[in-house]
Amino acid sequence: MNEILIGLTTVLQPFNLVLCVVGTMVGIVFGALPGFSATMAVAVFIPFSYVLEPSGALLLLSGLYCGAVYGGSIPAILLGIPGTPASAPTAMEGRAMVRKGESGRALAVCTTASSFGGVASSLALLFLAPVLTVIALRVGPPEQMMIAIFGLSVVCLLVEGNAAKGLLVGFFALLLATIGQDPQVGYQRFTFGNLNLYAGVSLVPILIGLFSFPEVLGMLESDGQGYNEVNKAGKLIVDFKDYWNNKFCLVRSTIIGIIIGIIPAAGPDIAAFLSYNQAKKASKHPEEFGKGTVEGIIGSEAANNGVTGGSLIPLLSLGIPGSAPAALFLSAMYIHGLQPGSQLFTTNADTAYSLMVGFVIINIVMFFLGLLFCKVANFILVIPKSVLATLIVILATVGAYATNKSMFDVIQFYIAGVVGYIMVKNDYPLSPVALALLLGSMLETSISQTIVMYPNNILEMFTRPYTIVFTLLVVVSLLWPVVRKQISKKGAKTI
Amino acid sequence: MKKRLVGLMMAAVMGSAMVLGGCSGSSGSSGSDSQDSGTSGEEEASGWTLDQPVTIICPYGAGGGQDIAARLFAKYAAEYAGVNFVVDNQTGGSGTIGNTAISMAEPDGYTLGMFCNVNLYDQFLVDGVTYTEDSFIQEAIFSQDPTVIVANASLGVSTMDELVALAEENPGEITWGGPEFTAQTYPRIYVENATGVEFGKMIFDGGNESLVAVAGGNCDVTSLFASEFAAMSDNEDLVVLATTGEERLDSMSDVPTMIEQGVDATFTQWRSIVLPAGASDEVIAYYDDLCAQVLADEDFQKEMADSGFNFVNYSGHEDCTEFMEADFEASKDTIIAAAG
Amino acid sequence: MKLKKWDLLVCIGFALVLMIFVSDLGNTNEAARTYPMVMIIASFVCIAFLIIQWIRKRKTILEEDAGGMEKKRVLYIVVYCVAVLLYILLIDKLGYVVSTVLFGIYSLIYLGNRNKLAIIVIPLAAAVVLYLMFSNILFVQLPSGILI
Repeated sequence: MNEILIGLTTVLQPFNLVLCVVGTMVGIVFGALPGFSATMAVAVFIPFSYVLEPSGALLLLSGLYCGAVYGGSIPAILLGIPGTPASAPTAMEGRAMVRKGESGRALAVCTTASSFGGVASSLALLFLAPVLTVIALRVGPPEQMMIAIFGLSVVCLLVEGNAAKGLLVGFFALLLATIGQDPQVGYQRFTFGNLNLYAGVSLVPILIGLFSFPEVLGMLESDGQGYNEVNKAGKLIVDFKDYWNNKFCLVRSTIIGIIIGIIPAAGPDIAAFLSYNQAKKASKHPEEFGKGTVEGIIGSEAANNGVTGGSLIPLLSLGIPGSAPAALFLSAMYIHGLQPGSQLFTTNADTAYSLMVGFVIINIVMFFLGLLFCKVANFILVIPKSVLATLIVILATVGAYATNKSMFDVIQFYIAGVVGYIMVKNDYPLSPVALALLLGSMLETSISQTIVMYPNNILEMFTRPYTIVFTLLVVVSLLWPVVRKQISKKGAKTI
Repeated sequence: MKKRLVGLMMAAVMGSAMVLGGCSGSSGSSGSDSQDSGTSGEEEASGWTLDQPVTIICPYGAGGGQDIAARLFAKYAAEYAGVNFVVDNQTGGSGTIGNTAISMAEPDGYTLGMFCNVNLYDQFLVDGVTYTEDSFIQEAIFSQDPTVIVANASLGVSTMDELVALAEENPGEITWGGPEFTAQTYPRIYVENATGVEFGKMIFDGGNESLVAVAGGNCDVTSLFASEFAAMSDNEDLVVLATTGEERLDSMSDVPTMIEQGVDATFTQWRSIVLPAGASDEVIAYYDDLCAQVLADEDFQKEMADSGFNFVNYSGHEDCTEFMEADFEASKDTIIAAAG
Repeated sequence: MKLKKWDLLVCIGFALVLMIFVSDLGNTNEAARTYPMVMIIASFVCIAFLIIQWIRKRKTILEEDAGGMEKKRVLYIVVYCVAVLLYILLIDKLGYVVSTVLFGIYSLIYLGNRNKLAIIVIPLAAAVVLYLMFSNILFVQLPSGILI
């Protein structure tokens, strides 16, 4: 308790508070720019942090991290362009809400869910770290493999009607993910001598194209400028009912986010997709998903910000980063002479606690800053369709370029965009593509590693408690919709 | 309305960037006319200087030996150069992805690489690798470290002999983890060649990931640098079996060398900062000077040592290339014979 | 995910792309070959399944899905897509700012905007603002061809 107070006083020093606010603000802007991710935001500012005190440096980076993960959702909702991959599910749901004229509500829900997830995960960091750390250590290749399979199966099979389409897209996207050097040893695959493909296809440009281009072409499908009907800026109010009605979704998504955060190699993007799909399955109105439902946004946003605090748990106690931006925290800590582990909580307790307490404060600050940004950004919609579509294309193009400063990436963006539109028109799901590209190398790597771990009998992996847990999750998750259908059929019969 | 909005956001972004730029010692956020850092100011004879941030590509994961070394270098280079040096981890393919990126980068002086001796041999050992020893210009070589071989305590071994015996009884089942053909795995190759045993190969993205896997019981053995091991050196689940240098480490004097335990081989890794080949003479001259300054800095040397690195001082492309070529010629055949 | 009338073509399209991958399998090192092979086979299985289903149900599908966009609309969209491609290809040649301004003007007119002032000002402002923001604050140099 003592340490928490010390941490609090450190954070409340005026300069540190400024760092929190500025970090979060810049983070939101970075995240909102398509092509720039949370990892990049933290990476770019690490050198700036060298001259700061350790506690200040970590607060700055935390603000950037949380802000960027949240910020990506603003253009996702308003323009359909995910600012970071973690906002891709929000792009689908948010854009649909905007089309219904509810942009203000979408933005408000997004901000609140993100802050809730962030605050909850920072509280978990502060009070539950030792307990949750164990998970991080025990998670190994078999568990990672199960998580990857879980994520992909949920997304591919969670389709009404033809699961074969979902599976086809999933397998095909996994194949795309193998282009380039293999993740283990680095052998070339499917590069056809093109130097640009050595590192594989570019995830961020493809995601931008896949989600935003169909939006744009959709606008071409009907005449009229849509000034009044389509792009009304709804009022930005935080409606308590929205959250109370979906309280289970909110809590569940946050927990998913925290746990995914704790698991190394799985970050906000994976959490967002997993949670969104879980929300859809558990929802009483799954058919609403994709047409603009608050539940969908809560599902993805609470989870992606829930990752932030969770990813620091194994980082601080074991030096294992729970996500890519967290890995950068590790380097920043080393530069400032901080070692993760027990030392951090004894000798450097004041820095450690100021970080953890600061994390809570940053997520609260993010709520207010976020609403401010949204109020301003919301006005983007009060413009004619022709302008909006043009701006989306221009912004998406520059975003696709910015990630790697490569025109080849822009070509990938374009191809993904056109193919994405064809897919949407023919009822092929887009989510499996995103998730397969995100999880592709983790899936392949964890499969190879698991095979090496149990060369004689791969089924031995089920002696691991965590593997059993995750496998059960996969099985339950796949069977639950079927079971539920049977139950409701029976229910209908008896009536 | 829209323009005001954009203007507002622009102002917000620029304002914050400038606040941060003002707060930190090294500038660079105000665009192309910055060069106002206090400490450097050494005008090179060639006149070429940096006016934008520099990226250092690190082919291995954050928290690992290469990454820590790169960030320490970045910190001091930024002070002397007056612009930010940003480390970009491009991992995967056991380091080949990042090294390929370095070799293909524009040699305009704004991209550097974090290199190490083991990368010289990828061209022989991995199909399709396009870079050779000539794809990089060595600018600074500033650490040379052996590794320690670490095992999970639950294996029940505490010496190399015991490990080898265990591996003999369970061929292919004792797992050794790390990126292929790196510091994590060359000791395995030497042990396998010397004793004829076979380990299961688990491939990870870097030293940190390997250490975590061993600590968590998901992998049995790996080989690490003292700098990577520091975070978990008092972890009870880990046992140090041997060190791979010629002599015992000062910091772990009760750990015997591999040679002492019957495996007649040593492994050390030197690390360097490189430019992609094709850089102009001006750029090379600039970095020759910059690296000399950084490596001579006593604080830099101290931080390297405190982080567990064995500091050595070769700077400038002439000295470094000479060192690299000597080492390459001496080791090439042994390594190819051992690993190929 | 119902079957739609163009699905046959889409599946064939997927299959063709898969064949490109198959043709390159031989160049891949054996160790790295298994995983992609599994994906390719799995994809072909799905395609086969979908094609068979489509052929069996083709009467119902063609009846139900008879509508769709009129040819004019399709052409409208295709032309726009080609324009975007041209924009992308020109960025390198003419430079970011010039290409963006040209595309912006074209796009606004094509999409029905009548406000002459907006048609000139918006693309100009967007291109300039983005260029300055990316090159000075974010240090991403946007391409400049023969112009800027």
